[in-house]
Amino acid sequence: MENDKLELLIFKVSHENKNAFKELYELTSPKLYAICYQLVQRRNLAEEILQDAFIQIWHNAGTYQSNGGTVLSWMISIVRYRALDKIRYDKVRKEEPLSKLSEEQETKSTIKDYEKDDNIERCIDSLDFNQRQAIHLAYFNGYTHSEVMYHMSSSLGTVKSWIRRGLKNLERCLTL
Amino acid sequence: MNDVYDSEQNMMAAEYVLGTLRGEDRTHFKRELMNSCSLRELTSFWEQQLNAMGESIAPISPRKSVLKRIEKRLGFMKSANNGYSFFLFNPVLAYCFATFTLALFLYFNGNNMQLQPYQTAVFNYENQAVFIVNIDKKSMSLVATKALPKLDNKDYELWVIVEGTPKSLGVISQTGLGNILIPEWLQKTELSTMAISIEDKGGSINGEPAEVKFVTNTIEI
Repeated sequence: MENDKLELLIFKVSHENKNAFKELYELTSPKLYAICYQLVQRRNLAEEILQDAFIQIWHNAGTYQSNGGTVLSWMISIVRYRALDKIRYDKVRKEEPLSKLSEEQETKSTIKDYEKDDNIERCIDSLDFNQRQAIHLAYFNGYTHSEVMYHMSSSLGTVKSWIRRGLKNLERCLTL
Repeated sequence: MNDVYDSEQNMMAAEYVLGTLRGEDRTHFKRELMNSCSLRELTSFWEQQLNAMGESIAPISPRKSVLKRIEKRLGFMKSANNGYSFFLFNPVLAYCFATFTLALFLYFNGNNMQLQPYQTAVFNYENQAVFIVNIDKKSMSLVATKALPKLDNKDYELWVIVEGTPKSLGVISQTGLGNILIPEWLQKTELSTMAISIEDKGGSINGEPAEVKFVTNTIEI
């Protein structure tokens, strides 16, 4: 997805251009919905969050700053924070705990398209398995430390350590 | 000491973006974010990095109705054949419009209107009928239901939107209205929209609705 095109669209949206808004929606909603759905695992709720996010995007398009990252990254932040707030405050959780098997399947499915970003792929690959798995579960599934602990059958302290070390290693790699 | 603090701030920003910063820590971090430029920069860095993972997720298309619902909530939705622009910025309509349905089908035969008697209802945003509408020959009547909010020192007024301009069909009493003759100018209209507004006693003083409370979908006349 070309950021230049999205930047032009978000600029137009900031000037209340409805056609640009629709085009921006068409281009980005499949990714944003996938992120949302992965987090809340409920279609209606994911759609509700997507709606709220796009309404926020319409109203706040003028606050987007290109030096703060890509348009898509900015939009992903809006969607993820909304979804995380929803999970937290409405105590939305997946109805069935995932089994170890489905956890592996989920992680696989979320990263299957991963090779598109060489830098992040390289750095994520440089993490050890547990660090990578813990970060994936937190980022894509919105899991708390305790939930990651449950799904990885480990202790809370170990999970926190995996995540912290993983993030530090990731930062080191990304800023090389 | 500063390095340790910076490192801790950096990790908090990372965990905030990741989603593992929870509870009071998250609330506190959000507050700090408002006041600290350096914290915003750290957060922005982690958003760029971690969201690159999100960008790589396999897309799933949402249902088509989602965009329509967004457009309705933003007030984009309007009739394809007329531009009742004054509706678009009315916040009351944003939700009334979404749940309100009324379709009136009036049939003409040459210059003589041949109306098929028809009954329908006007609904509020909770899907309760607030008016029962009867259309018969050249007139229509509205009868209020118990769900219609009672107004003190106010009146409801019925409007039809023709070519983007609201035209009054008269004040409606809070128990409903007797017959309204459908004026000739309205009979020539192919597509229109009706609305009910809240007005001071006696109706609009300037020929425009003050506060639109309910609005119909496009109707065929």
